[in-house]
Amino acid sequence: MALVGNPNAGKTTLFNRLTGLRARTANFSGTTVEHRIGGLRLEDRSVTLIDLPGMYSLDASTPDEQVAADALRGKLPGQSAVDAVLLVLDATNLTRNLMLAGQVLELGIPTVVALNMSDVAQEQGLQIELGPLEQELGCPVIPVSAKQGDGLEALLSSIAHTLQSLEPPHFHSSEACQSCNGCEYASRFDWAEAVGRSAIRGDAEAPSRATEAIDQWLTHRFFGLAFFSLVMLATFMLIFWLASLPMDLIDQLFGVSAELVSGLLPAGDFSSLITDGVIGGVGGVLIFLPQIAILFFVLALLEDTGYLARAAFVMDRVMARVGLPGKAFVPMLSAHACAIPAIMSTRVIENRRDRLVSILVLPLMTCSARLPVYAVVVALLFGDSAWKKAVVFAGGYSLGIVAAFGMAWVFRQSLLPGKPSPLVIELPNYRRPSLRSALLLTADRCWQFVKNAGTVILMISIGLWAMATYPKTELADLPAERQAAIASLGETEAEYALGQAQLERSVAGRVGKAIEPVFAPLGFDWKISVGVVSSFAAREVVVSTLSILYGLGEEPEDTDTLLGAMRASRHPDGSPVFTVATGLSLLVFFVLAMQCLPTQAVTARESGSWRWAWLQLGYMSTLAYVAALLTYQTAAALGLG
Amino acid sequence: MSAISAHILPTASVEQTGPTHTLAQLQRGDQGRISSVEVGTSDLSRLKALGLCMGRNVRVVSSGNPLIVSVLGARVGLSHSLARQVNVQLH
Repeated sequence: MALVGNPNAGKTTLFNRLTGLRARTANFSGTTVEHRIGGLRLEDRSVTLIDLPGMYSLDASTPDEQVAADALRGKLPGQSAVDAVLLVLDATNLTRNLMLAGQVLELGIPTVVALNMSDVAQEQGLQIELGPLEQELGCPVIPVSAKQGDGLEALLSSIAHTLQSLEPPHFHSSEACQSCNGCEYASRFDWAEAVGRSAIRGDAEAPSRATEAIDQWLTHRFFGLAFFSLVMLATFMLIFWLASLPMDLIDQLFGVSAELVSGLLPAGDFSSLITDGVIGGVGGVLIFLPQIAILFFVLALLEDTGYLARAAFVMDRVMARVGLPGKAFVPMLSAHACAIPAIMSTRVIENRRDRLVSILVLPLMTCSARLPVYAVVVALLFGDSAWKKAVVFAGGYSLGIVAAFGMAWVFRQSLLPGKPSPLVIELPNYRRPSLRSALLLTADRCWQFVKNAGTVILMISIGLWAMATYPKTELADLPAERQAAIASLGETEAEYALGQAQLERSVAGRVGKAIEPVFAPLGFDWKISVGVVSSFAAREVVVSTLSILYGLGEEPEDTDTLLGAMRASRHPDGSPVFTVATGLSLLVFFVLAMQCLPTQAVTARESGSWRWAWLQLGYMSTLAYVAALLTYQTAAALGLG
Repeated sequence: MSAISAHILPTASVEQTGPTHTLAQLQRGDQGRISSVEVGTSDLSRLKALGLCMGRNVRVVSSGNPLIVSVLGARVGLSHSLARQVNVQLH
C-alpha cells in the first residue's frame, strides 16, 4: 500500500503514527531516491506501507517525484504494483491538494483518503462536509489528525475494509480536454475548485489569513533577511553550546574503551589496529554526531513550521547573483555542521545543473571537523588575545562562504553555464511543529550519517593506520645517536620519542618528507607536510598527527604542550617554523582544502559519477594551495615571516 | 473569486473582464485570472503543478522579486522573471 500526498500535507507524520518505530529507510532499486517502508498491523492481516516522496502532481519535475509517480503506476523495475493507495489531503489546503487527488484516483487503484489536519481546520472555523467529498471522490474519506493521533482507528478499519474488497474508486474522470487549450491541467483545477466549493463550509480563506499576516514580515525584503540571520545565528549557538557536553562524553567513552581494549589485548600490531585504527577512527566520526543531530532536529522543526520555505524565498535573490538557487541555502547552512548531510539534502533542488553547482561548492563551508584545526592554529598564533582569536575564527568562516559563492560563480561561467532555474516554491501555512516527527526524522538522518560516513571512515581509518605504522621501526633500527638520545629520556618521553621516530619512518612520514618541497613555498616544514598528507582523508587527523610528530604521544596532556612544542619548532637553519605567515597559510589551506574522503564518496553517489568527486578534489586542492601560497608570500613580504 | 470561470473550460472565447497585465506588473492585493503562460517547458511543469496555469484565479500577496501569489487557496513564491511571462486579466 502506498502513502501518497502533497509535500507539507503531513504525510510523514501520519506514516510515523501508523507504523511507529517499525519503519526503515530504503532506496528504490537503481536510484538514490529514498522512501520509508513500515509495517501496518490490521486485525486480519499485516500490510506494508510505502511512504512515497511528496508530490504536487503525477507529471514529475524532480527525480523524487518521478520515482513516486512511477512507483504508483507500477512502472518501477523491481517494485511490484501497489494494491491500494492511502491518499493524504491537507484539510486546511484542500482545493490545491484535490488536484493530485484527481490524478491519483484516475489510476483506478483502490484508495482511502485521510483528511489530515482536520482539527486545525476546525479550529480555524472551517468545516469540511464529508458526504459531498466522498461522493465526488468515490472513495472513503476519513478525517484524521496525524499530529494528535485522532481518527486513526476509523482510518485503519477503512483501510482494512478497502483491502478486503479491493474495490476501485467510483471516480468519474473529468472529461479532460487535453489538447484544446494551453494547460492540460485547467479542467482538473476547475474540478478541484468545484469540489472544494461544494465540500468546504465556512471561511475558506481563514487558514491563509494568519499566515499572510506573518509573511508580511518574514518574507519582507529587509526584515525577512534580518529574521533569517537571527534564526541562523540561534541555530549555530544551539549547535555549539548544546553539543559540547555530549561530544566530550563521546570523546571520553572512546578514550576509555580504547584503553580497556588495549589492556585486554596483547600489545602488538593487532591491538594497535583495534585501538588506534578502528576505535580512534570511528570515534573521530561519531564525535560530530551530537552537532549533526541538533542541526537536523532544528531543521526538521523549522521545516515543519513552514519557515524553511520562507528562508529559501528570502535568500533566492541573494543566491541568484552567484548562480545558486534559493533552495541551495538550507544545504549551505547544514554544510557548516557537516558537508555529507548537506550534499544529501540538495535533493530538493529540481534542476540538475543547479544541484551539481551546489554539491561542488558545499564542502568549502567550515564544517565542525575544521574547528580543531582552527583552534590549534589560532591558539598558536594569538594565544594571548581573545579578540584576535575571534577575528581569525570569523575569518575562517567568512573565507569559506566567500570561496563557495565565488566558485559557484566560476562554475556558472564555465563548466555548468546558465542561470539558476527561477524560483517556484510553495509557501505552506504556518503551523505548530510536531516534536515526535522531528525526533523520528532526526534519528533516521543520524543513522544514515553513521551508515554513510561510518563504513567509509572505518576503511579509511584502517588504511591511514597502516600507512602511519608500516614499515615498522624498532628502537634498534635507529641511528646510534638517536638511540642514545631516547635512552636518556624518562619512560613516557622515551615512548613518545620512539613514536615520533616510527611515524617519521613510516609510509606516511616518507611521503610527507618526499613532498615537503611542494609545500615549502607555503611555509610548511616536513612535519606539517606529513600532517597534510595524513589528513588527506579526514582533516581533523592533522592535529593528532602533529602531536605525534612533535613527540607528544597521541594525546598531549593538555594542548599547551603541543602549542609549546610547535612554537619551539625550528627550520634546519634555526628560524622558527610557526611564524604568523605560516600559521595563516596553514589556516587558509585547511579552510579551502577538500581533505575528506567520506564527503567525496557522497558526492560521487549523489552526482552519479566519480568524475564530479575528482573535479571537486582537484579544484579545492588547487584553490587551497594557491590561496595558501599567496597568503604565505604576502604575509612574509609584509614582514610577518 | 468568479463563479463562472470554474464551470466552463478556459478557451479563447472566455469573456474579457479587464485589461491584461503580466503577473510581475501587478500590485499587492490585485486579483485576476491567468489568461496565458509563456514559460519554457522545464519551468512550466513546476508552475502548473502548483496551480499557476491558464484559467486560475490569482491574488498578489506581495509584489517584488521574488513575489508571492495566492492561487487555489495556497501561496506560491516565484521569481520576477517567471512572473513576467504569466499574463493575467484583472477582475
